[in-house]
Amino acid sequence: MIEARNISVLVGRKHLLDGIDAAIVPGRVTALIGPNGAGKSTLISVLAGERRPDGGDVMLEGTPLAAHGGEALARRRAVLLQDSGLDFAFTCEEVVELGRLPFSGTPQQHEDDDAIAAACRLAGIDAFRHRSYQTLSGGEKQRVQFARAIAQVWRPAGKSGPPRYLLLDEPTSALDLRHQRMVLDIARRLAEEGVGVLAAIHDLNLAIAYADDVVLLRGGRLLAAGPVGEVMTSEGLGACFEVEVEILTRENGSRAVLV
Amino acid sequence: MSEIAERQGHVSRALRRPAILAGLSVLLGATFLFSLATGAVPIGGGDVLRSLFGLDVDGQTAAVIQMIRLPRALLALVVGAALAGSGAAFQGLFRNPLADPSLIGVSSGAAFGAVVVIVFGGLIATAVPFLASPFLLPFFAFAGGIGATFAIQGLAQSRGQAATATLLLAGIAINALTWALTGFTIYMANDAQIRDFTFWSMGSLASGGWKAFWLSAVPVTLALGIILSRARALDAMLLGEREALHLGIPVHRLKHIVMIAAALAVSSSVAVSGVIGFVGIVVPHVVRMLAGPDHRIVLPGSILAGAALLLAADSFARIVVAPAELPIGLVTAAIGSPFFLWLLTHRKRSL
Repeated sequence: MIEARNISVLVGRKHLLDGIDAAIVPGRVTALIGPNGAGKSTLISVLAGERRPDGGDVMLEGTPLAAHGGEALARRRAVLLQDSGLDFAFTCEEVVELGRLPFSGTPQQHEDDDAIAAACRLAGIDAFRHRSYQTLSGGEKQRVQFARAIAQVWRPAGKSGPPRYLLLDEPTSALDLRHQRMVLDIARRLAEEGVGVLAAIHDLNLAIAYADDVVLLRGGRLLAAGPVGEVMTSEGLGACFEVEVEILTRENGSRAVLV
Repeated sequence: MSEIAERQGHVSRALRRPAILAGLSVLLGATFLFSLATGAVPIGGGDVLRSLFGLDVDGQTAAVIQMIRLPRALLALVVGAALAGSGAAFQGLFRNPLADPSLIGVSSGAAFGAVVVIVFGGLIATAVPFLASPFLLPFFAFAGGIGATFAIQGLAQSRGQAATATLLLAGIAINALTWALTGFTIYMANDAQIRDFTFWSMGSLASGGWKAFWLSAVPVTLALGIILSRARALDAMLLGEREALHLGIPVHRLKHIVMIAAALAVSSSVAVSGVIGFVGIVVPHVVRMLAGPDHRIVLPGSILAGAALLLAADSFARIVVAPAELPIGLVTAAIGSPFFLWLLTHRKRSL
């Protein structure tokens, strides 16, 4: 488990995050929800070990995250950031291959080809695997970057090892409806294989459909955290986004958010 | 494009890499031999080879090869490799294909350091006798080069990327500042020093001999070795600094190591041959067009091709106005600046 305890992040005297508790649990998909400027990206960078909080601790399986070396950490967690620019003409496959960089020189290196193939297939980029990244549309680029993150946390079926984590910062922002679903389907599937997934998601209906747990942020403060049914209520979401929200439940139990 | 065609395209790119390196090695060998055969006294290819392998040739030919042309050709090789290899490294580090050591001010920073020694070397040596050595000038050049490198990084880079406009503007500023300081230093120089400086600043491989070769070959080999060992990390840097960090690359340390190594390569070459521009931008770009941006080929490919280009440019500089010779910096600028303009106009979108 990656666990943030009482995290504060300051820029000057302004709190980007103020006393946040949050966790990424293996086997579960956690959705990070909140309006613009809520601190979602900041929280992801703290949980990824990229940014040291000004207050509080981040723990990985009970030991401080910072005590794990950068490379060891990279073998266990992948991060997909918003708008990754790339000015050089790598092919898509070469971009995905970079996801295996943490494993070069380790016993897992021989799994690279399988990981790359699996990641390209899952992310649906096989058709343009050998095309130059620069020629792709925004959505296609996002899927290639997603495939790179998958390749980084990929593990052969049935093989055991320490828990893995996937942190996604708005992974669906540039995608059409079908591919939004595809990305979150993959996140779900990875969670079922034991990966702990954290995803900042703007679309409340995607969040309610795919998440196990929800962390609700507003203005750098934690409004609520817990199982999706307890947090994504009309009152909770209404307070978070300052709009009237209704939660519809269909007969089969699936829910939708009506704004 | 059909999938089969794409696959073939892919296979050919993978197969092309060793072929490209082999081809560039052959090109380097050919330009090297050509450079040895070229000059005021024409020497046949057979005699060049015989002389290189210590076989029987007449005394004059052996002397010309061993004492004049061989050290000069090796110096051209080292300087070309240093400029192109460090250019490729800077471009990867700044994530910007226009980062040439001479455009971003690293070369002129090193040049300022060198000029300080040309003009004040006597004073420095009197004041601090243990500094009086052949290493004084390279050391000051390195100090100037490293200063300019960290300045450009501080000025031009924001959020891990150097936007082209900022990079080039910061380069203009650093070049202006270092040339002003250089001009100020020159103002205090005597006539002989000014003459030394003038020829040195246009770039020349003529004066050095074996001493210049060894002075540059050792640090350049060290620096390029360090840069080559960071090829994959530089690939990750192309994705972005944060992305590289999440892939386990120690970004901060990598930047410092590569900047110091690249500045060492550039200033070592500037110390022995003056400012030779554009090699660092033309060569890596051509290699990338042939083989893609993977640093495992861009770095060794640029080193080979840069050495070959400088050998060819030096041969040209010696032939074209023989028995006199052109400063080699003029030759590379004549090739490089139109190429740079072409590159700039074709990249307008990302400015």
